[in-house]
Amino acid sequence: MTGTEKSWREGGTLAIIPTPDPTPEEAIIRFENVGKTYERRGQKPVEALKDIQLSIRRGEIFGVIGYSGAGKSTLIRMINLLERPTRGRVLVDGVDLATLSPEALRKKRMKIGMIFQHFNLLWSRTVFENVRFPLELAGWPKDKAARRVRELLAIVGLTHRIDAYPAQLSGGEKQRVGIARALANEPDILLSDEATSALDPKTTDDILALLESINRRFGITIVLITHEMRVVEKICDRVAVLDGGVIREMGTVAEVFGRPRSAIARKFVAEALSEAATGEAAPPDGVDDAHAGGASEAIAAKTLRLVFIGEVAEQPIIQRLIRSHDVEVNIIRGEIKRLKRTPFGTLTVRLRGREEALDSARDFLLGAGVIVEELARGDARADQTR
Amino acid sequence: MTFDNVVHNFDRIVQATIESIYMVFFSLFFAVLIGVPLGVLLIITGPGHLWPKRWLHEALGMVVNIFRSVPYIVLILWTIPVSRALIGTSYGTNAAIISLVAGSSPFFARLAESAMREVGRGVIEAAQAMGARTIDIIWKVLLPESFPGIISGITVTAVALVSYSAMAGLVAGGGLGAMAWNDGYNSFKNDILFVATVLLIIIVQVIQWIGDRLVRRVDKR
Repeated sequence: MTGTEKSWREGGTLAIIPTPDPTPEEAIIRFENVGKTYERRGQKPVEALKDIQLSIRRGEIFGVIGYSGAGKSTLIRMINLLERPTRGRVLVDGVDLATLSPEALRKKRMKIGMIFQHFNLLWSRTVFENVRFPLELAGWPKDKAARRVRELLAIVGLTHRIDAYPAQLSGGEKQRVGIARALANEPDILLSDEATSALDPKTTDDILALLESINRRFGITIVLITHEMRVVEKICDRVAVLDGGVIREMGTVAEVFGRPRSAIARKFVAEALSEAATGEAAPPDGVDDAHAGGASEAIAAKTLRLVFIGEVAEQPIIQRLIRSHDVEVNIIRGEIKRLKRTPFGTLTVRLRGREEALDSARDFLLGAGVIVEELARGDARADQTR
Repeated sequence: MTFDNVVHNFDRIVQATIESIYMVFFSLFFAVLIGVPLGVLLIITGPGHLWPKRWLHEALGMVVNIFRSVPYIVLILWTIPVSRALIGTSYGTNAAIISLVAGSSPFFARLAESAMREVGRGVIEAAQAMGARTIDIIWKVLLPESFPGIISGITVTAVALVSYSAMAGLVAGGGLGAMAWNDGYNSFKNDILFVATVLLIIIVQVIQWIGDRLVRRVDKR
């Protein structure tokens, strides 16, 4: 599969340049035809993952998005072999963990940190002792471990809570402890299992910012699974959309969510947009189709949803449309978001004009690289009555 | 009611109290020594746990259930030959301890098992992801995380041992139970029966008080 990589062009404008998947040398994690079937006695076998092909580039933040039951939890657990593939193999730095001795597997796991939705801290240990736990397992001498723990707590900003017990911490603080613990043995990879799903939106943003800065500072590859679009668009470089144990789509975030091809990706985009658009204004009265039809037989109206990504979002396309076409443009709602580094705009407009003008306006938009989706009349009515 | 008999037999009552405490303490010690590893085995050999071993899990469960379903008074009789073999006599507080351990270890093992069942799968998974061995998980996760539950299990077992020890003493000789029965009830000295009962109640109260305080101190949830 071919992806596209967004990058800064000289002068600061955005460009989308096509790049292939990571080459074998670039990849830190590779899934080769991986499948997993759960067999339970007296029950039908359940195929959790089917034929997964995936390459994760060293140093990137890779997201796997899917609803519960999509298989993402199984997928992420194969990277540190908490789940064993029943078919295919998973390579981490070229090594198939399933072939390692228990002792070698232990050593390898120490280099793969993991954080969890429910934090999974030890209640009986203080913050300090929780973060020291992986260092005890790795056999660090006490004084050296204590120094490392203080260093880690400084990274996650929890130095002042060093002697607290997990029960005394907020959700965000607990996850910071989880992150410090996961980083203790200086891992190359950090796995994040719905790490922000139990947190409120503000805390989620803080934790995501922390993960992003860890990715930048230490070059740690982050693989995260989530069911929340906002998590993916905030920090991920690339994303795979998982549904029914199959990767339906994969590529850069801008590409996958700017031009969603699969039904499931469209659903995630629609959810994210409607979430962001709560409190949107209803279109003004008198612009409905009946009114337009009454004024003149030749005048028609269309409601379009326009999606602008990357470079396209920075051009005055609507202005050009109005200048070059004899149509009225009525903006019903609009918003601009920023995926990690790419602007991403959505505009719902009502166009009025003669049929030919409308058709040519539509072609113009498509030609300019805008993704155009015509909303059915039912959708438009629903918009008004909302 | 006068307490003349109590006053006359004061030394023997003190002696019996010490014997009761001695029986409870040492049987509790051995019950914990046997029950904790047994509880750990019951937990980790269970399906989907650290060391799933179906047959071992079921065999251990069956042994524990057998011991728990035999009435204690019958268990005392069954352990008589064992005491003879181990300590050369079936009489005295040490012989009583053998039957008490046989009766309370499986009971305590179940309590320890259910305390450890409270330790979430997620925490165990996190430890595995960090490269912990099974033995690390037992020592650093399962036992410390279930420590409050284990302490309250020890308290419950100690209280049960007070009443069992009264019965054991009756058969094997020694303690407040034997005193209440032989010197009290059978000798028509109701004041001794009464005082022995009150002393047993006080022992139970003290055990419960210590246990509750300890649980509160170690429970960080």
